Amino acid sequence: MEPIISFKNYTFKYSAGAEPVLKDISLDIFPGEKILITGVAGSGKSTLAGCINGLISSEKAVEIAGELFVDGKNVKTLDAVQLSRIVGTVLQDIDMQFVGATIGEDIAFALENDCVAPADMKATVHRAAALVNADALLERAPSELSDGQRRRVAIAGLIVDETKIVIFDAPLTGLDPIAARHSVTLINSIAQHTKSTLIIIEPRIEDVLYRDLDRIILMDKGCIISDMSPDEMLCTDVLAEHGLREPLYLAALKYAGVSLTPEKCPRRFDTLALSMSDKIKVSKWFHDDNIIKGELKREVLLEVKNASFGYDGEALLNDVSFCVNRGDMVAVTGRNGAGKSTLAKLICGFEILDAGYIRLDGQSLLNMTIRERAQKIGFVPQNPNILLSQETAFDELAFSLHLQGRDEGEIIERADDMLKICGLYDLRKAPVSSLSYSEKRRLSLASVLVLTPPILIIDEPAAGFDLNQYFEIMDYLLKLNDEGTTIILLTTDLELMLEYASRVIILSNGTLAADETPAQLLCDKEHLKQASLKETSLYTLANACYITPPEDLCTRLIRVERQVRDYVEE
Amino acid sequence: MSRNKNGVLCYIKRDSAVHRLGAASKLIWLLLLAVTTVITYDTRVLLLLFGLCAFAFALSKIRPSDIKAELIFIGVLLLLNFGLTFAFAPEQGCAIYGTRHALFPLWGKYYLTTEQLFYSLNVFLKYFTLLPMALLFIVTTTPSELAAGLNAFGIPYRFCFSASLALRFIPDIQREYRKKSELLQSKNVALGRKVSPFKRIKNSADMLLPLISAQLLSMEQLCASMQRRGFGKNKKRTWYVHKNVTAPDFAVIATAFVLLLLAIYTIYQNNGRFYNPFG
Repeated sequence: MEPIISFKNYTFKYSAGAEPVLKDISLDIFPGEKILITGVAGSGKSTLAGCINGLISSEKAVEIAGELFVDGKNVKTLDAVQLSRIVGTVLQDIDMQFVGATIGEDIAFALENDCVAPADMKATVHRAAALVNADALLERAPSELSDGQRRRVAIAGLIVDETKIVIFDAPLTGLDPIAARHSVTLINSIAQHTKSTLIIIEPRIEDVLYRDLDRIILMDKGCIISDMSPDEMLCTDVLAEHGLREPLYLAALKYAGVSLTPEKCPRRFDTLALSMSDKIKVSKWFHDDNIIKGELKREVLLEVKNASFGYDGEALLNDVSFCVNRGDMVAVTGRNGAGKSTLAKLICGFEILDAGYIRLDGQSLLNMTIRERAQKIGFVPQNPNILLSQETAFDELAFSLHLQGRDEGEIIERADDMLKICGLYDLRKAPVSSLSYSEKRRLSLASVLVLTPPILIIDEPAAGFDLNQYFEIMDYLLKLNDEGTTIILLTTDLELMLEYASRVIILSNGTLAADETPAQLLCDKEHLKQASLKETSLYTLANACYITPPEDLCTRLIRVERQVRDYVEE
Repeated sequence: MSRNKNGVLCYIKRDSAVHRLGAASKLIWLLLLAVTTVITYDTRVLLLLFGLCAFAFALSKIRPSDIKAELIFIGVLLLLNFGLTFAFAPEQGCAIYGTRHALFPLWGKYYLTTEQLFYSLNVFLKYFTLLPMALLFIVTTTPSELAAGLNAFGIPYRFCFSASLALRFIPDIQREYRKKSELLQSKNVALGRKVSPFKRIKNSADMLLPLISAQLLSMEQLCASMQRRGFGKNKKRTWYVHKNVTAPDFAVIATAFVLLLLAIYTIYQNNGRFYNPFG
């Protein structure tokens, strides 16, 4: 069979860049294959996709060696528009995807241009929207939707376009685990439906593997490191070696000394065949260690009482009450659209409560302006595009510090330190607009962290980071927390909560569903469902190996991983 | 109910007969109505038009409070018009109607006359028929419907689509501005309440420029996205928001024509544009 995509000794370099972004890539992808391209930020995986769909390679200031054939044609002979008829793409920066005034119009856009009759068009749009569970959103403007909803809707646009190849660039960014599962299922069924070749670019391996794939291609530093079936690759350690998080159950199995072979089908927990002796190994590894738990009593710093808020009579938050103690690291969770961001906006003063109150240090926030609140509360939104306003990464941090009235020497020192922590030091003079999505995410986080406010609210702290950066940032947050900063994390990442949060506040449809410890949450199927979280694979593994209580296995793994990290650092 | 946070005039979503009308028929109605109200000073016709305008508002479920600021603006404009006309030509009404019924003297040579009052009534009716109707058109028609409507008139679709993009661009900038302003305030930039106006203007300007350049950049990206999704590949395109022409559309257009003919007829009958109850 002829490959539908064929790289032959392909090297790609930005004229301004010192190093090629892709180095001598040779790769064949065949029609109908489902491929995961993975790697840490900056590994070249997005660039690879950008060459296939012509979004990058058609730009001017690039140098290309070698050949790339897409659907039998040399891409040099095609422009981005012609390529777009063959390759459909859902971009990571979803803001750039939408052209229609409403969701319905956006899904219909390609049909409009093909002169489809309006009646047929409406039927097709409704079908596509129903497939992605967005039929209720058709009349909304893209800007009114949450990130998760917009991702779903962008997929509906692809269904309608019916291209031979579909590329999803980081489709799970910002999605809660259940939404991510839905998304993966959706992406697969769409590819089957349109009989397209499917390419997913994504670092969240465990979530993508929720549905079967043909191959995983691992990239690092512009090269293809490994190209194997999921079962084969998961038996090796290459993913972890190249900075990616392997599925948690596999990490635990490997620590426990269970030998993995492709025959055991480790690609998913439910396909994995564990023998009795394997289970005993896990159980033994677990009992090697005792788990100590402790709790501290602390004073209330932030009090949210009977908070209600809504637009147009539609309640977004309904009678929510909870407290955050000084020095807490609290996670606020709930499915996409449950009211997490609304809560943050209310605390920061972007929106005003309809009823109830919020007190900080016993003092009502009601009459305080956004700026006055900002002296005490730092907020990092999920979408980095809005927060950034300066020319370069360094300026962005210096700007924040300037406003605090710090002197020049201190500004440079603190900005540089922060850039190093966020892995942006090499890019400190780069224009903000040239940064990748994940770099912008880190920069927006840095620009708030550098101000060291006593309370930090961070929307999806992990989104956009690879594993090493994630640990680095989270450990830094932990350090700030130890030094007394109170941190509120808006997240749907259960592992993050288990590892870092002392308490979890669960919102469901704008109401407070629960306020408990992460360990309690893990055992609580009802609350997990309400928060649209899934049991981690570790929980399932613990049950399979008769470990009780099962959440302790997670704690165990986290502690081991931390020890391993500390060991490597020393 | 509906809170338009940006305070701009834009589409207000309601389920009403007026919203359901095709953009093209609403546009024809508005254009014909404009011609009619401009040519006629026949008070009876103007009263009829005014009544129809009020009826259209009632049908549309758009309340005057939704467009309060704009209505006040029209009112101020009208008062200015009255004031200036009276200051420079206090006898304009008499000149038009050829009679003079002085009510009472004001000062100097200024007298209030019935003719002047009657003339002012005509002007009032014109203003408060046409301008609210234009407002109603804007708040009941989405930019996309407008584009589809214009295209139906034979205007090239590229132009129509650009026009609708431009209309969408304005609330977009305002929303982005608001979001950005909030976030910058949360980073201690002096904006928003409790900041001296001068500082606020300076900081807003500092923020606005990058915002506009970012918007222009995103416009470029938008154009690329549009091309990738096949915009411009055919000579024609269809519209998702297209509405089939229904009986109410015909009724609206027919009414507009009848009103125009009526206005022309009264000109012929009155021997001029003015209806004269005095002579």
